[in-house]
Amino acid sequence: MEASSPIFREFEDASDKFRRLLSFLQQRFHGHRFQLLSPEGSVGESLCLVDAMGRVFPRKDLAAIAVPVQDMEATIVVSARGGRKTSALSREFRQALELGIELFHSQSRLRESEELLEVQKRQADRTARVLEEKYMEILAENQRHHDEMRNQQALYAQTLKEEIERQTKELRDANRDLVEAKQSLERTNEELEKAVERANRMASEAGIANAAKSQFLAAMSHEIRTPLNAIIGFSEMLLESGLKEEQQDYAGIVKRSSEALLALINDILDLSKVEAGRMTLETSEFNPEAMASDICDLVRPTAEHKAIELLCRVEKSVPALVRGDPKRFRQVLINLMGNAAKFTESGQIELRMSAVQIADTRVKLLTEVRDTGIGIAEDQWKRIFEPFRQIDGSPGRKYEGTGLGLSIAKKLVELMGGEIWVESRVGQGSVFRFTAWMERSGQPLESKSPVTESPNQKALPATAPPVWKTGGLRVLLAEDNLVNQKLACLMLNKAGVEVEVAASGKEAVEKYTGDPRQVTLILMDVQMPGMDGLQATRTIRGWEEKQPPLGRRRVPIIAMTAQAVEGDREKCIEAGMDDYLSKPVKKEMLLEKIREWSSRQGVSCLGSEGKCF
Amino acid sequence: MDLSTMAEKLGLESPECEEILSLFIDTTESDLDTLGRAIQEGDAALAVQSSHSIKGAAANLGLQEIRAMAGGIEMNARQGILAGAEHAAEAIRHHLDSLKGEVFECLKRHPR
Repeated sequence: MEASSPIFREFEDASDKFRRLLSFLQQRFHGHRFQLLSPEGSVGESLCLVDAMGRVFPRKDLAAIAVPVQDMEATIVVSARGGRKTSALSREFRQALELGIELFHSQSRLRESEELLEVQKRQADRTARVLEEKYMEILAENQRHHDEMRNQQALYAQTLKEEIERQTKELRDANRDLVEAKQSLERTNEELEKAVERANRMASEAGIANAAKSQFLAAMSHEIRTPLNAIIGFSEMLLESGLKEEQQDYAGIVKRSSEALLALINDILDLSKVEAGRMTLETSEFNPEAMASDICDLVRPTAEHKAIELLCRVEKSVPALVRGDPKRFRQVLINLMGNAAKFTESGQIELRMSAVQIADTRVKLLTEVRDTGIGIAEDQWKRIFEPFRQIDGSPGRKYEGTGLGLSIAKKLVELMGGEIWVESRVGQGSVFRFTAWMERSGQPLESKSPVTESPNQKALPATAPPVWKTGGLRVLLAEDNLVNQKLACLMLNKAGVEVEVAASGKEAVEKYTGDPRQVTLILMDVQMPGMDGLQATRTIRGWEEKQPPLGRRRVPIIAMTAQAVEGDREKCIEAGMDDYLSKPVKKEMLLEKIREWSSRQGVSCLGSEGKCF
Repeated sequence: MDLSTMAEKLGLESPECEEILSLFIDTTESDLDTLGRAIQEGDAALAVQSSHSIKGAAANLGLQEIRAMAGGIEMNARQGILAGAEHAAEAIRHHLDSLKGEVFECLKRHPR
């Protein structure tokens, strides 16, 4: 081991040091002898005399000086070689020696310092090496940590990436599912829309078809009613015409059958009107009490025939006048009362009317028709208000009727804002009740009732009165019928003939006799109220007879008559007429006659020759 | 009854024919009202007068159905019989209604 204990080294060093010092001095100071007197005095004793105090005691044969070496607690004894005198050991020598010793010491210290520095350097190197190793370790550690961290980060990033990819995929999948679901939904929606559209179209078509059906039905009913009314009317006329008993029966069957058919048609017409939404209520003033008693009167003959007591009660709460649709209200009442009379053989029929609710401007009327007839089972109470329902639906049923009456009544009542219902017990009787809203009337009846025409008042045609053309030919037309006047005027004006109209026989006479020269000929209707055509002709001829012979003239009078009855022509000629036209008057025929007779009068503006009777 | 056929028979132009028919419809409706009132009130004389007026106009226009029905009413009414007249009058009114429809259609086609 390099580093020995400092104490041992000091001992070793001490002797080594003495030697080195002596050697050092020997080299520098030739001719001198150096001895070291150690503190133990072993060496010095042989060289010089030195007392215990270090002082030198010069020997006679020997010049010597002693120089203490402070640092080493020793003394150097110097002697001159060859017996030289001590004077040679001058003061300068002594100083030089001391400086030499000093130098030795300095060098020694320098060397020691160098050694120390070397040691320190080695130590520092060692420390540096250790530190470097430590540093490298730390670096490695850092690297390791760094790598670890990087790995962890990479792992984390990888995991994160995978997770993101997984979630993205899931999202994409979910999104795709959503898109598919949306598409499916859209398809469904589209189908739904198509279905709705189809349904709407079908509903619309059905609505149109239904409206068309109702319209057709209404039109058909109308068309059927026309001939049917003629059948009924003429079978009644036939019945009055003095038929044989058998013929009377047949005609009676025709009439009753036609009446039944007409009632059915009317009901169908009403129902189809209601269903087509074309039934509208009218509004006029009427007296409900008067209507009730009116209807009781209507049923009375049947009731009396069957010995049924008929009661009619109108409560005081019912206003004397209301505004509503009297025709439809009456229709419902007649239906219920008619049914009561039809289905009751004995007992009572009661009509009762009351006001159950009175508002500011309206009043709700409740009407009850109570009978002691055959009654209706409870399960039928609602069904009887459906169309074509009769309780007894068998072909040989006892009671006649279309089965539409109650369903029409129900619709009418609903139109009047009310309800209709029945309570009944089989074998005991029925109560039909219905309500209807009417407007309250504050006005007296006269001011609101529709204006009725007096028998002599005739509605004037809406068209403008005809404008008569003027010309050479002037015809006096005696005709009371407005249509026929107009027709003749149209025909004649077109041919350039001027027409003067007389609306009666009397007027014709007045117009002709007033200014006979203005009249080329007279067209005379035979049947006119008051003075007819025959009488007017006679009057004219009589007047002509009375004229002075010079101015006397016979105006042509052409008869026009609606019916070509045998003997009419003779009657006309007999009365003084010249010619005859039967209705319908045809234009060509009329103009022919006029041509003919005007040419005979010397007025010929019509050209071609006419044909004579 | 076709209007153009009727116009041809009467020797009239279509517009004239429509005009005369409008007049016929107006006057006949008025006559029918009077007839209805006459029947209700049992006034045979008034029934004769109104049915005769209808008959005459219808005859002149060649409307045979109406003429015959009005003639029937008139004939019975002259004997004081009004039975059946109401129905016959109703039948006339229906005829008149369809005639109205035709005239209306024509007027729509040739507005004056």
